[in-house]
Amino acid sequence: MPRDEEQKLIARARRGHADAYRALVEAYKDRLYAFVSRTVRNHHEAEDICQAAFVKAYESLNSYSEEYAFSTWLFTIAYRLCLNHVRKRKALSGEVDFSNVRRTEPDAPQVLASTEEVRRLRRTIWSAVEQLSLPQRSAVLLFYREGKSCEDIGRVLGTPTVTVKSHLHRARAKLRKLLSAELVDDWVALQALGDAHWA
Amino acid sequence: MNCVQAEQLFDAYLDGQLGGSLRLEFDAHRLRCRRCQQTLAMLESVGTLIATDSVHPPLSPDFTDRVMARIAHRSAQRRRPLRRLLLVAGAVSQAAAVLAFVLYWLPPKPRPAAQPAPAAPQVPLEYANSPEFRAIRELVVDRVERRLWEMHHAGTQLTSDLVGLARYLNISLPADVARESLRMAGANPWQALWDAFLPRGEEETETPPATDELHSI
Repeated sequence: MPRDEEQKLIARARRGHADAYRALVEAYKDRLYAFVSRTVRNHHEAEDICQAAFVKAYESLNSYSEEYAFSTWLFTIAYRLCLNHVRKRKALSGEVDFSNVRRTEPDAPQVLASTEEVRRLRRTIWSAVEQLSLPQRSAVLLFYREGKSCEDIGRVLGTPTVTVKSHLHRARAKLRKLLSAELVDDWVALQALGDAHWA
Repeated sequence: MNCVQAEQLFDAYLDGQLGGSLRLEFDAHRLRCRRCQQTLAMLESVGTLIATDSVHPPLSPDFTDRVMARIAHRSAQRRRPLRRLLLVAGAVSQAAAVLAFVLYWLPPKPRPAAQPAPAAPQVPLEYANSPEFRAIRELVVDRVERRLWEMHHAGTQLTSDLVGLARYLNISLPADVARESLRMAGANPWQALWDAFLPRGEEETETPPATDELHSI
């Protein structure tokens, strides 16, 4: 959505036009859901958090500053809700073993991989991403999926830019370590195949 | 450039921040090093997958409707106390207006007539001119005068005692204090009363005493 159109919608939503805010929800719901879903790794909880994030954003619209992108502000709200949710879940269940969390996406019919090797690799990569810490995973998702700069990611996570770079560096190192164990014969060839199928 | 040096530049390369001669060196190493090629390909694959892979199951189709319904519900909940407050305030203000209207149009209560002030007691003229009244008046004046003279003599005695004590103790007093003490000791009390109630014709200007005026009495 172009920035000026987005600002017009926000201005109208601030004046109480529900249709303007509905347009904003429509524009951002999938991106926000993708981020939250990968962060909390549960479909139902992700939907609830997204809903709460949109409601909170609507009620706090007056505090939004046009200096930053609306998506950055929205992701900041959602990330804080995710943090609170994960803390509550930890408090309720003690030590959380995320490896036991049910994975919902691999067997869905929309899986893009056409070969068994790519499908296996896809599962392996997401499994490795899920083993990252929450800030590392969020930084990776915002960087690759949302294309956010390190400064913007810092705003979302509430940390300095240097810390974001550190998160990304550690996340890549950990992914390298985890994925090297799942050694693929030829990552380069797979990359070419994967790019064609994942896109 | 060797593998260790190249690995230190992986982050900058993946973030698109590697440029210039360093980028040329990095690319040259990458072309001839299969291990670094594999690592970079792996990391780029991860980035591509994260960026493009879809999330399943997708968001519910009625997600937006539910969000808007929740917003409307919460807005209504927020407005409810305010609305109740406004209703109460409106009812109270209407009642106050009716009360003010009624009080304004009611006939005022008749006020009781003001009581005349009691007259000051006056001495009858025939009694004021009688010899008994004159005798009593003279007696009162005589007693007041005698009392004033007694007070005057007591003050004079006290002043002379104080002056004597100061002289005995060899205490230095300022000249104006000593002068004023002696004047008070010999003053006529009637004159003091007269001075107190009647304005003076000429104001005496008093100069502050200089320190060299100190002397011993």
